[in-house]
Amino acid sequence: MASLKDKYCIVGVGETEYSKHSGRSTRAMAVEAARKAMVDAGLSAKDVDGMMSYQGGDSTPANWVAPDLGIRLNFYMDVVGGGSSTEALVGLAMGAIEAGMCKTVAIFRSMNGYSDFRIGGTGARAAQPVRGLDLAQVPFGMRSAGQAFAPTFMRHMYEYGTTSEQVARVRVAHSKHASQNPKSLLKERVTVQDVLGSRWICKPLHLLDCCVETDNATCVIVTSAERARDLKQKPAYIMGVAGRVNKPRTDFHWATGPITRVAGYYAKDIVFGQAGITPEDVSVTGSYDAFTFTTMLQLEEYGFCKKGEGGQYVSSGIIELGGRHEHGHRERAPAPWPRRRLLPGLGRGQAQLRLLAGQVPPGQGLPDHHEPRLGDAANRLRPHHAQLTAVTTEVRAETGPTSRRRGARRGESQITRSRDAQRRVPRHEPDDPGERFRVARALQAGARTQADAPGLPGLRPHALPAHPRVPVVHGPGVGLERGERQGPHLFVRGRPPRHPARVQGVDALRGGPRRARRAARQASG
Amino acid sequence: MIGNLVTPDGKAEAESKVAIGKRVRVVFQDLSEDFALPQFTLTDEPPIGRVWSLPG
Repeated sequence: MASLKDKYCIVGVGETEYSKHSGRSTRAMAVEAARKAMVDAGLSAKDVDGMMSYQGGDSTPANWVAPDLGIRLNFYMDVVGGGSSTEALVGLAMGAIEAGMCKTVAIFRSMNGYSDFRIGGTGARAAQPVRGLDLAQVPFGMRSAGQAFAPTFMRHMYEYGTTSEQVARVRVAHSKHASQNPKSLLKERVTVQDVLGSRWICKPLHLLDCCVETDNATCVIVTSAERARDLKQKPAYIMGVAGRVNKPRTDFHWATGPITRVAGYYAKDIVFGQAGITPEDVSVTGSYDAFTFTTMLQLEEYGFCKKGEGGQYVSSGIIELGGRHEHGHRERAPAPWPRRRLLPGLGRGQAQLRLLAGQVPPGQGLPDHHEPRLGDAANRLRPHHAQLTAVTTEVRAETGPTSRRRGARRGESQITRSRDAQRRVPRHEPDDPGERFRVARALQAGARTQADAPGLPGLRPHALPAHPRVPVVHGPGVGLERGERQGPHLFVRGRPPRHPARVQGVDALRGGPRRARRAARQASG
Repeated sequence: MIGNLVTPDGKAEAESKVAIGKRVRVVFQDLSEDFALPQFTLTDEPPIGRVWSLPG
C-alpha cells in the first residue's frame, strides 16, 4: 500500500471554553468547536462533508451536530472510546478521504467531563448499571481510570526505582506551561512539594498526579494536502498515525507482562515507520497527561529515553519549554503547553497545533508573569512549515526552520493571536440568567462574522445553551397568525413577550428578573 | 484477576501489610447462597523476589 505520509493535513482547530460548569449541552459545545475549526481553516459548510466523534454515551452524535452547521454529510461515524481515539479518528478520516467517501472531515469530542460524566465514575456515570467488564471490577471498588492504571505505575516504581518526586516534575512542567496558556483552566503553578502534599487518590497517585476533568469541546479538521493549499492556515502535515493500539489485553492489561509496558511500545513502530523518522528527529512532543506517570511511560515507550529511565528523564527539565537535549546536532524541547484537559487527546493537541501554526507565541504569559519569555530556543521551535505526526495518545510534531512573518514588527512579529483569544466570552454563571444570555449573545456575535466564514451559517438558536437552567427558550413553531412570535426568536426569561397573553406556554417566563432567577433555580433542582 | 486483600474474617487488610512480592491465597467471600466474590488473604509462605511497598 502506498504511503500516506504528508498526504493529509490538519487544517483547522476549534475549541470551547474549558470550565467546570459549562451549563451547556454537548451538542451546543460541539457546534461551537466545529464552527470555530471551520472558520479557523477558512472552510464553509459545503466544504465539509465528513464528521466523526468518539464518546462513551456522554456526548452528541456527529450527524446531529452537522445539520446545525448547515453541513450535509457524505460520511459520519461515532465510535466508542476515549484517550487515543483522537488519533484513531484522524487515521480513519484519512482512510475515508483516501477511499473517496468524503473530502474533508471534522473530528470533534464534546463532553461535560466535570459537571456531568466524570471519568472517575462519579456523576452521571455512577448511575449506570454494573455490567460487562464492570462486573469483574466494580464489585471490588475498582471503577476509575486511576485505579485501572495504578498497577502499571506502581510496578514501574518497583522495578526501576522511579519515585513520586520524579514524576511530580511532569505536573510541575505542565503547570508552568499552562500558566502561559490563556485558555488553560488551571493557571496556578505547582511545585513538587505541592504534588507530594496533595491527598492520595489511589496510590501511587496523588491528586495533582491526576489531570483535571473539564467541560469542553474540541475539533480538528482533516483534509488532503492538495485541498489544504487553498486554505487559510499553514497545514500541519500528518506524517504517521496510530490509535487504539493495544497490549494483548485491554480489560486486564496488567495480566500480560511486562506490567510496565504501555501500548506506545507497539505504536512507535507504526508511526515512526510511516513517518520514516526516529525519535532523534523529533523537535517537539506532546503527551497525554492523564496522569503524570502516563507522560513518563509514553516517552519511554516511544523511545525518547530507555525503558526504566523515564523518571530521570522527566525530572531532568527536558520536558519543559526551552528544555534541550543533544542528539547529535539536534535539539529537542518536548511538551509545549498542555494541561487543560479533559477531552483526552484533543485538548493538548489544539495547543500544539496553534503553536505549530505560529498562532500563539509560546512565550506569551500572564500579565504579571515572572517567568521570562521564551528566547531564541523557543523561537526556533516556531515552525515555518509544520509537520505533524499523530501517534497513539499524543501528537508529535516535526518542525522546520523558523521564518519571521513578513511585514511584522520585531518583538511581536510572530505573534498572531487566535480569534478566540481576542474575543472575550463572558464567564458562565449558572445562577444568573442575564449572564447566561450575555454568553449566548457573545457566541452569536462570533458567529455573525460572515466575512470570516463565507457560506457558513451562524450558530442556530437550538445550538445555543440548551441546559434546563438556561434562561432562553427556543420558540419554533409559534405562529404570528395566532398572535405569537415566529421563527428563531428567543424568549428570554425576565423579558415579557410582546403579547404575553397570547403566547402559549411562556407564562412562567414573565414576571421580571427575580421571578426568572427563581424559575431557573427551580428548573435546576 | 483482581480482588481486595482482606483478613481471614473478610475485613480489609491493614495497608502496612500490603506489598509487592508477598504471597496471597484466593478465598471466596460468600455474598449470598449462590454468589461469592473472590478475594485475597496473605499467607505465611515466604515471598518470591523482593518485597516492596510504596514509601510513606
